[in-house]
This record gives sequence, C-alpha cells and structure tokens, in this order.
Amino acid sequence: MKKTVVFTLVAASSMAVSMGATSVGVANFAFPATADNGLAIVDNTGTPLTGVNFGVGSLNGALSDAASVRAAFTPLGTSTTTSQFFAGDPNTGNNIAVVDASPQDDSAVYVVFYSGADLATSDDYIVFEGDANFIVENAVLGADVNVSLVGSTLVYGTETTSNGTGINPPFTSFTNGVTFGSSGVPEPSSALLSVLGLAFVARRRR
Amino acid sequence: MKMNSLKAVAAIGLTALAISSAAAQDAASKPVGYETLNFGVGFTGVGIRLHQAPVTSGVIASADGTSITVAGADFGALLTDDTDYVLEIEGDKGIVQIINTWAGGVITTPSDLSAEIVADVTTFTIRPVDTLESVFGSGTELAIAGGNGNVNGADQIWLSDGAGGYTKYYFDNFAPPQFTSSSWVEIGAGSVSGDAVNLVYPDGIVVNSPNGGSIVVTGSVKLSPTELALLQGFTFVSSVAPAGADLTTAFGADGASLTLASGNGNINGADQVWVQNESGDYDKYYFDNFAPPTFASESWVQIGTGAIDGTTVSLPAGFVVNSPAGGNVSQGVPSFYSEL
Repeated sequence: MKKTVVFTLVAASSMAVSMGATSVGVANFAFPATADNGLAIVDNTGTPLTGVNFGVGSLNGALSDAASVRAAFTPLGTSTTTSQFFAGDPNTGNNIAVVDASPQDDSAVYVVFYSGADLATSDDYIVFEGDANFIVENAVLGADVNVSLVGSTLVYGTETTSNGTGINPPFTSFTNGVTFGSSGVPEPSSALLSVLGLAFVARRRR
Repeated sequence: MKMNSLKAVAAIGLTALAISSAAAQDAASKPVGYETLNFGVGFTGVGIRLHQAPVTSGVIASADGTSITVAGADFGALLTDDTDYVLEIEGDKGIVQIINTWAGGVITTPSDLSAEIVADVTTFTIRPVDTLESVFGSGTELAIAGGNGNVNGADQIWLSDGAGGYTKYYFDNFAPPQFTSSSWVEIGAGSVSGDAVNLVYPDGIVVNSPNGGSIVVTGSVKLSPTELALLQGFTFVSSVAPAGADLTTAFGADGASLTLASGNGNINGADQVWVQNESGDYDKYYFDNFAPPTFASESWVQIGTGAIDGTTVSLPAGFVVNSPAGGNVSQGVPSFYSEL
C-alpha cells in the first residue's frame, strides 16, 4: 500500500504549526567517490576525527591566529560532527545547526570547527567560508540552508591528507583532509615531532 | 527570487478524455493541459492542479459509515489491485479521499461519507493518485535537482504530515546508506519508492530549493470544488483550479458564500490567506463582515492595506491558509469551468 501523507476530511489537528527559524546543514562529502569529493576533518596525523564541535555564523575581521578567529567569528548556531563523513542529513550524520538569529542578508555562512568544546574555550580552529549564504527566512517555515565543505573555501586551517583510519567504504577513497592551525603553516604530526626530537637529541650527542 | 507563476495551462487545452463509466453513466470529458510551476530559492509552496485522467465515474447508490456502493459496478475490473486512487465526491464540499480497497460495486472509504451522499444523486469520479515519481520523475527523467550522497544541492519536497510537521524527500543519485544506486530518499528514514509517496492534490507541496527551478505538470483539469483540510495554524494548500482562481472564486465573493472563517471589524477569528510575493514574503488577506476603515460593509481585506476587490488577487498554484481554528473548508472553481 502506498504511503499517504495526508488527505482531506481528516479532523482538524489541534497542533499549531510554529514559525520557522533558519537551520544550516553541513556536509563534507559528495559522490561519485573520487578523492576530491570528500574532505575529512583530521588530526595532525591525518586520522579523521568525529565528535568535532563546530559553529555556523558570521565572520567580521581578518584572520591571522587563533585569537583573531575567536574575535572575528559570531556563532549563530552550533552542533557536533557525529561521524568522520557527515552531512546535514540524519541518514549520514546529524550535522544541522539551528541558527537562533539569521542575518537574512545573503551573507556567506561561515563554518568554524573548534579544537575544544566551544569557541571561547578552544585554542585552535578551522574556518570555512561556506558555499551557501544566509537567505531571507520564509515567514512560515524559516530557512534551510546546506553548506558543502567540498565546495567551500578554507580561510583558516591546514590542508593535508586523510589517512582513512576508521573510515568504512565507500568513503575510504576520499583522501583530502584539513586540520587545525593557520593556513600555510603545516603543523607537524606527533610522529614527526617525535622523530625530530630524537634527531635533535642525536645531534646534541655528536 | 522566483515566484510561483500561473503560466497556467496555456490555457487548458480542451482535449476530451473518454473515461469508463462505473454504472452505465454517461462517459465524461475533461479538459487537459500543462502548466509550469516555478519555485525560488528557499521555500516555495506549489500545488498540483492538473491530474491523472479519471478512470471511472458514476452515481452513488448508497453509503454507510465505511463504504459507498455503486449499483452494477465492478471495481475489480475497473481498478488495479494494490493501487491507490483518488475518490472525488462531486458536490458543494468537494470531498476527496484516497481509496485502495474495493469489492464488486463497493468501495471502502477512510471515513464516514454517509451524511454527504444523496442516494442515486451524488456523483463521483475516481482517478489515479499522483506520486513523487509521477510528478517529479527520477533518474535521467528527474525534473528537479538531485543530491549526490546527501541532500546538498538537492531540491527537497516537503509534504505535510497532517500534524503540523513535514515529511521531507529528495532524490539522490547515490542514495545513502549504500551510496551505490539512485533513489528517492526520505530525510531521516532512507530510501523510499517514489511511486509509494502520494501527492494528494488538495494539499500544498513545499519545495525547498538551493537554486530555484521549475517543473512542468500535465494532466486533466478538475472542474468541481475541492475540500481543503486546514490545520490550526499554517497549512500549505493547492489552489486546484489551474486558471482563473482568485480569492472570490476559491472562497466566496460575499459573506453568504464565504467558506472561510471571517472577521468582524478586525482579523480576530478569521482565516487568513497568505500569498507568497516576489520578495519571498507573503501578502495576507481575510474576509471581514465589517471591513475597515469604514466598518460599514463586507469585503476582502489585505492586512496592512485595507479593503480590496477579491477578484484582483489571483491565487498561485500553492498558498498558505493561516487558520485560528482549522477544519475542513470547500474551495470553489471559477464559474466558467462549468462550460468546459
């Protein structure tokens, strides 16, 4: 039997439809599965991360370091990634941030990933200028905007490679990653730091 | 922002459709045509106003709490098993129900129609119900933007769940969770068959689009009134009539013919008709028995502007009724439809 969503002659519902707000969905993959169609948030070893807190909102100011991100970004809604590859779709990870007060001005949606629990207590960030803008809210339904990180611009953070750890097919073919820290200043991995440290020790001994 | 436009039925081509008769009644003819439904960035309410051709019609011999009976009919031969159809009771109310169970000349009805039926007088029409698949297509025939593994970039189709919420669908070329094949997807639930999701034409359809677009709908025109089920609060509905619909043809030109709840000197208690404008906002109207600013006569009123001529407000394919009480109301068709 087909699924009939609603039909007439039903008794009037007592439930009122509430006025809508803006919600922003964030996705970091698309198919077909090519390396460029996914972008994982990774740690400094390239391992994809889950449970990363992030905010969506507006940005006003130049970004030079973590403190400048903290000062320039105004989060309008927050959420947490629930898988390494996520989307604004509960089928593939709940990453929809409800925006309390949308600017409704066609300005870009900025997505900022936090190294810690929230903007104020984090000491590092990843900042994307989203490929979608805030739009005028519908008076009945609000607005529903979706940002794809693959099509967005990385304005603060470091491009790197995802090693695919913990990723199940078909996502392993996505090899692009981004990690915390200022663009253009690659953060050495823990393993590399360890090697370098041993090298320095070895040099001193000579 | 684009708007729903009534490029209606350039206009309603008058092709005759021969349909079966369920009980040796005269075969009916219906005009057919096409219309383009535009939708803008963000949310746009649209409505299906051209329908699949009727498959049978006739006169109802009797009705009880759970069924109607048509003398001499064999619905088993006229209708396809395990298929949903729209049952239209042709009368002032324009009751519409979805049916899928029948035997001989008896059709099981979802609710009690006995009070609405005059034996051997009330007529009915049955037509296939439209679906996501029949209106929006799929795969290479998809008429809207699809997703690729997630909803990003896809046009979403929001259908009322009848309780104030919406069930949301989109078409994905790599549908989750396998990401290997295309399918319609119910957001939050996974793949669904587009043929299995009915689009019941009195209800409005909300298109949530990242880039805007349009679809072309073809089919036959319904020439009689249609009952709308209004929730308390906001309900997206279809104007059903594809050409010539305005506030007066849909809901009445005066207090005596009005089918919506009216105001008495102000908006309190009145059903409001919200029509989306080019800015994406809504122009809002209601009928007042003592319309401001003179409070001396009845009139349609545009909220924030004052009394207006209701015939000047054309209804797009989809619009919103904001009702303080909810309930079922009848929506009429322009008078010239009787000559089609």
